[in-house]
Amino acid sequence: MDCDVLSRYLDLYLDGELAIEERSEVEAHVRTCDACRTVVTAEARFRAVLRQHLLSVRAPGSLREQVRERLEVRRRPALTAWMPPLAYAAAVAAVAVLGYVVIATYPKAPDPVAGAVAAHMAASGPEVSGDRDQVDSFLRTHAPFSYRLPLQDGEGIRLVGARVTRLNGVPAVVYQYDRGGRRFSVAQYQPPEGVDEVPPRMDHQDGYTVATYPDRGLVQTLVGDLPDGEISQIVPAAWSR
Amino acid sequence: MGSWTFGRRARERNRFDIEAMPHMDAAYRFALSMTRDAAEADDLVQETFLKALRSFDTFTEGTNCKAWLFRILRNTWINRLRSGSREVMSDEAMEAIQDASLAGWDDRAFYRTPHESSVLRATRDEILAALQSLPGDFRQAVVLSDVEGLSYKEIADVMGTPIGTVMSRLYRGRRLMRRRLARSLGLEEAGEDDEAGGEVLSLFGSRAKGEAGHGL
Repeated sequence: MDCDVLSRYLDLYLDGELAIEERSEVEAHVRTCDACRTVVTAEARFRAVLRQHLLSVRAPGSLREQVRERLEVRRRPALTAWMPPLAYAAAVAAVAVLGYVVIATYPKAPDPVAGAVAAHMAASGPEVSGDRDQVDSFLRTHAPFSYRLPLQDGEGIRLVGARVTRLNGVPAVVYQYDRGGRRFSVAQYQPPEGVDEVPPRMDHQDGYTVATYPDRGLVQTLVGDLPDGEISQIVPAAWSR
Repeated sequence: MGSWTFGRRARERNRFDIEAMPHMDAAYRFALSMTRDAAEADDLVQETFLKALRSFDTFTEGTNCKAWLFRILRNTWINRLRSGSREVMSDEAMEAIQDASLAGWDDRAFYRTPHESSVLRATRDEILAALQSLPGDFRQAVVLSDVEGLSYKEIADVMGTPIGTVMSRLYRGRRLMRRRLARSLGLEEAGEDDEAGGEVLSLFGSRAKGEAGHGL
């Protein structure tokens, strides 16, 4: 193979469309030819830059919400259709009966549980302590994505602080709540590219009850040592908002 | 550990959430690459997901769900184009213009030091603008391959063309995009063929006005 032939194979090679023998021919030539190696390397780097820039274009949250709503409307006529609040209520009921439950396993979803538990247990204090307004105004300038305060105050629940952190490398906000003197936290993050939908699930880990549920394009993971019954009151309320 | 699911029928519904929904960002990007209009892309994605849910039983498990959604998306868009009065240009006419625009192009020159470091520092907006200046079919092929990672065969299925056409669109689209980028970065002087490029833009770029910031 010479340099002219390589030019013709450049795209096929980088697109992974060559058969093994042709591929080895290209690689053999590139190993011995500096000029071609430069082009192949530079082209591969440029494609990585292009891809990285363009992958940052994402569907707006409003679109995500509209699609979800329209899909739900379509599903509703079937009584057995999956609806998040009902599914969640069922899961919570199952928790009450079985003591624990894992709702299926989803290979594509990240496992936010361990990260959220670690964040909940982290010794470092909140970056901001204070009420809803104070937390909100802090996050307005510090949150790494368009956050949404996950729960309403009331019913004995009070927001007391928040921290900006990372869960398994994904930027997240961890909110701290007080419920009758007991603390629980809600980790909130934007699902990474390719993982838009996290199905609701409940786990028990390290003595905590961990409820993960999607909320309008964001994922929330509630971690607390609250009784399951109390969580079953808190989470559906957050969901139905 | 015990496990518990929502029941068989509900799980079937769930399959859509697991297989299709994660591709909404990709669907939106591909929609933008066709429409170059955020509102229209929005609308197109909504219609696509509704159609996809309706026909989810035609999706073959184990195949590329993203490519399947793209095909629905593109067909929906083509239907809209046909119902509207937008002109569709023949491949031959388009390729002739592209070849004129590519005269004198050399991959090696593009990546010559110190060009390479400037090229790699190009911002998202500069890259988007270069991509946006391509005719639709070329732009779509580039997005499907370079951004979404589809194989030639998958792109051919999405676009309803032979693989050879995909390769030719990719070849021309990529190089034309790099030439536009090189010019916007001041690495190459604008040549006579810019006129041809301008003609393409006026034919295909009317929907791109003022949208360089968020279109693909």
